[in-house]
Amino acid sequence: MYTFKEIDHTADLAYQLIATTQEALFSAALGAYKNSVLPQHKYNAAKDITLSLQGNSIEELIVDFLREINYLLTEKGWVPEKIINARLIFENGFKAKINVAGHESGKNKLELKEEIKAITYHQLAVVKTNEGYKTNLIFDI
Amino acid sequence: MIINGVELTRIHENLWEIPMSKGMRVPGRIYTTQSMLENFLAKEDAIKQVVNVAHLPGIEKYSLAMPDIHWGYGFPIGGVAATDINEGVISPGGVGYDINCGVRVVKTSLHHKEISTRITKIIEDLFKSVPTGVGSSGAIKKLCVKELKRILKDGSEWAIDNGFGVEQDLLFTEENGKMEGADPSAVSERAIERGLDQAGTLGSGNHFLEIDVVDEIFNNEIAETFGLFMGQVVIQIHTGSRGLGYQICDDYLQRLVKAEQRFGFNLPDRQLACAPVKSQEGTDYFNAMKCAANFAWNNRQIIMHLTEKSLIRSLGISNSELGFELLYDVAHNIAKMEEHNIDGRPKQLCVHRKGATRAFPPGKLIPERYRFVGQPVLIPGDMGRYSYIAAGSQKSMDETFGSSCHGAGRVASRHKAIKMGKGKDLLSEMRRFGVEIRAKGMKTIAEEMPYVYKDVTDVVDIMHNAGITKKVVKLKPFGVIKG
Repeated sequence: MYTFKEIDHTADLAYQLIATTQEALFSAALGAYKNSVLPQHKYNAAKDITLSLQGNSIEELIVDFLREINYLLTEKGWVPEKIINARLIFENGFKAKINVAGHESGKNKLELKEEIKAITYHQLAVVKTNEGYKTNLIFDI
Repeated sequence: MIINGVELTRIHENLWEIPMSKGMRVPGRIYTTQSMLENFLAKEDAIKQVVNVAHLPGIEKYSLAMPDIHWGYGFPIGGVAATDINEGVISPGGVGYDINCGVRVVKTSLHHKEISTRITKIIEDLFKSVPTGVGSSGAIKKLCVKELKRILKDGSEWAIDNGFGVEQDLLFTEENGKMEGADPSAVSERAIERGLDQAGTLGSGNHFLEIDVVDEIFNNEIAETFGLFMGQVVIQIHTGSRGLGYQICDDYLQRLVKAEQRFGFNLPDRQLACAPVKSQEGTDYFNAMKCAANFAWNNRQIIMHLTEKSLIRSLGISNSELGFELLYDVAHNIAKMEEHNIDGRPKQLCVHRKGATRAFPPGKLIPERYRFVGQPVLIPGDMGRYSYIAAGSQKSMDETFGSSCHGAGRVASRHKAIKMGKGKDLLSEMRRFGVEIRAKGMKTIAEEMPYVYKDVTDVVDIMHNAGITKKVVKLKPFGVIKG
């Protein structure tokens, strides 16, 4: 279970993510990303991908995850749909293996709603609350 | 005065100091007014970011902020920090994602009254000629990797060699449009891939191409030296290094965040990730950053050329009748190795300008034509009201490492801007400002309406009154294209 909600930000795009598990935070992050950039579109053949990530914190993994998604969408024309499986391993640092369902589109066929320059670390701090794991996520546009 | 828990002491009418506290290596200084502090800065984290930047190893004198300060990533936008090149660090967050985002102003021989009735035709042709919008591409033929790497090394020289401008344009571009020592081997394949079809494109967001008229002259002598006269039509181009620059910043931020524990800096914000200037990581970042800077100068050079061709076509005039001549091109997101006086002695520093314009005074460091008056400082405002051209003064070298403000700064979020624009005929509203506009979509126009920005006059006046720059002319837009 997860939610993402756009929050006010003067210059860029900001979201609040809440998820019942740390794994589900990645789905919330992907939801926020898709909400920002993807237009209504009919997609071509399905193609799933698996991302293996490594970092010093869960925040780093979230940024690295969306970095890859942003690259795959803008440069390879691969459109993410949803996370099929996310596995986090907390030993010798933080590792993640994330399986994402998506579609081939072709780089120039999609007109994106927004150009995301970068996924930032600003205000990105995962905390456990009564509502679940919570963080803000800000895209530089 | 205390704002968001940070104590500020007034130094003079337009300058406030944040005294050193735990972890800060130098005090902070913000050029602003009490009213801006209370009305804008109290609502966001930018002041805290000035404090955070003061934690950087090797920072000299002050963590500075110009009057268009607003919150950014790591550094505030409008932030300036100079670090010792031997003891200090270089930070991608001190440059920003859009490396060498900057402004170019081109003069023409045309008078506003000669072309104002034809502005619709002019703007339509320009909009077709200069690719704009999210992921825009295809201004020139798609480059091969070898050619792109030449751009990364040679900057605007590539454009001149390929017929997109004249040799003289290089003289009036900061760094002559090329930072020496750019090393394409420090640039990732992904960044290269993103740059292949983006040379000569404007992009989206707040990037623009404007047709302006010189509306007011504040300093006749400098205006004359700059070649500016009342009623003159000038072109303003604002864009940067596009996807290539974002990717370079992101690649190095990722690398430096992962190296943070090894360097052991313990900084208050991950976005301040940095490396010693002379470390392998620092050297690699700087050499890659120079590549993006060169790409951006080449980008603005190609756009200038496309604009010239478009104006000749739509107005049916000759080159000489148009009189297209570059006034200056400045970077406002960059790091440079510069010599500055510290305690009366010259010292080599790494000057980070993030949303800040170089504002060098009269002297040998600027083009010969401007050596007696100071370099042109180009300060765009919003797309409805006005922009400014100022000149650098000695006080900028004494106080701000030769830097000034770079624009107005947003006051309303894009989200709020869209809400405010709902149900309104924005094109008609812009016409009421006397501006004909074309953009990829109404969303961009809504997000960039004049009322979402501060009045740039308030920003420019602070720098003028503090003696950092001198106001020269005010420009009024009458034609705009946006991404």
